Amino acid sequence: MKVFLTKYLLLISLVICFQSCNTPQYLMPLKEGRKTTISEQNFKAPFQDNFKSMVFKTNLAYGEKFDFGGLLALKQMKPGNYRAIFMTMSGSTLFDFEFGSQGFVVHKLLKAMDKKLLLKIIEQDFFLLLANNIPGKKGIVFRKEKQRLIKTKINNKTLYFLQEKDLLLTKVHQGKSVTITLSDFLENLPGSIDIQHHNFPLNMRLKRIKK
Amino acid sequence: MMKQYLLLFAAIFFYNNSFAQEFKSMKDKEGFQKKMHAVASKTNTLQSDFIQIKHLDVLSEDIESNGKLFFKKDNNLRWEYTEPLKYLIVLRNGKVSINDEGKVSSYDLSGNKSFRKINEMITRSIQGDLMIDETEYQYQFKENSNLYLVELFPIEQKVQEFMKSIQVFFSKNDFSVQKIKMMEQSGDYTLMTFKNQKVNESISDKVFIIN
Repeated sequence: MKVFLTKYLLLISLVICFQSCNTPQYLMPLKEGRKTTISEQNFKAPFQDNFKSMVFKTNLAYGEKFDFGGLLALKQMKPGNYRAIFMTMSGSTLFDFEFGSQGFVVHKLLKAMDKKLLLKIIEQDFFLLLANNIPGKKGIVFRKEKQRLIKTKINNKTLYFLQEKDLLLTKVHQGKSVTITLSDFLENLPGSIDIQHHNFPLNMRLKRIKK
Repeated sequence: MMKQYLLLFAAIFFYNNSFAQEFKSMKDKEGFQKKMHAVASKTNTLQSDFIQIKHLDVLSEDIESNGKLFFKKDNNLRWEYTEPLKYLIVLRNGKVSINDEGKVSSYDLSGNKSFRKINEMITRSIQGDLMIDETEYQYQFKENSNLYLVELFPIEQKVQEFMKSIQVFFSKNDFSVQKIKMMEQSGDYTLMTFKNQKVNESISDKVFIIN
C-alpha cells in the first residue's frame, strides 16, 4: 500500500510538474478546463476583421549586444495572408516576408541576415503573433476571473492565448519560452506589441506610428 | 475666388511638373561636374528640413517622415527625424551614433566596407559633392529645364543589395540638392526632399555630439 501511494504521489507530482513546467507561473493553477474546437466564435486573431495595414516603429534587441531600431510595415494581402516588411529608418528594406496559405515566403532578405536559426525564430514569432492558423485546432478553455485562456498544442508546442472582453487577445505564450504582450488597443487593433524570448535575451518591441 | 484656385492649381502643377518633366541626356557633363565641385567646395555648412517618403509597392499609402539635417565639413552629418517619431543619427569621424528614444548606441563603420561606402555616398549626395569614381558606380547624367539629375548605379553586389541606384537632383539655379531618390531592386524607393536650405551658416560642433 505504501509503495502504491508513493508511486501514485510521484505520478501526480510528475503530471503537475509537466503541466507547470510548461505553463507560465502566473496562469497557474489551471482548473475547470473545457475541451473545445477553436473557432471564430471563441477566438479572434489580432489582425483580422477590417485590418488592412499598419506601420510600427520596431526595436530588435539581443541583450546588451545590440538594439536596432527600424520600421515594420504589416499588411493583410487577403484574409489570413500577411506581408511583413522591415526597413531601416532611412528606408532600406532588410527583410520582406509573407505568412499565410503558402506557408512562409521570403520575398527579400539581406544576405547578412540569411541565417537559418534567425529565420526560424522570426517565422515562429510571427506565427504566434498573427495566429491566423489557430481556428480549427483542438483546445481547452479555462476561465481566469474576467479573462479567458485557451490552451492548444501545435507542432508539439503548447500555446496559451489570454483573452479579455470581446475576445481581445492580450497575451500569447509559447510554453515558458516566448511571451507576446499586446496592448494600447485602438479599434481592437494593438498599438504596442512586445515579443520576449525567455531562453535567450531576444526582444522585439513594436509601437504603432500615429498618423 | 476662382482666380485664386486657378493660381494655386497652376503653382502646384508647375511645381510638380519640374520633377515630372522628362529628363534627357546632359549636354555638358564636364561643365556640370566642374560647377558642382566648385559650389560644393564653397559649402562648409548646410542646414535643411527634409521630408522622407518610403514607397512600398505592397502598401497603398507611402510612409512619410520629416526631420532636419545639419552638415559641416568634413564628414559631420546630423540626420534627425522629428515626425512622426524622434530618431537621431549622427555620422562623425567614421562612426555612426544613434539616439533612439533616449537610448544611445555607437558603431564604428571602419570594419564594414559596404556600410561605409553607402554612408559616404549618402553624405556626399546631401552636400552635392559627388565623387566620380567609375570603379564603384556607373553614372548617368541627365537634365530637364529646371534640374540636373545624376544617377549612380553601384557596381559592388553588397551595395546593390541595398539599392539599385541613387538619384541626386540638383537645382539648375544654384546647384543645391533638391531631392535624393534611392531605388531598390524591387522597385520600392525612398525619396528625400529638402526644404528651407541654409548654406554656410554657423553650426556648433556640439550639434554632432550625442550624449
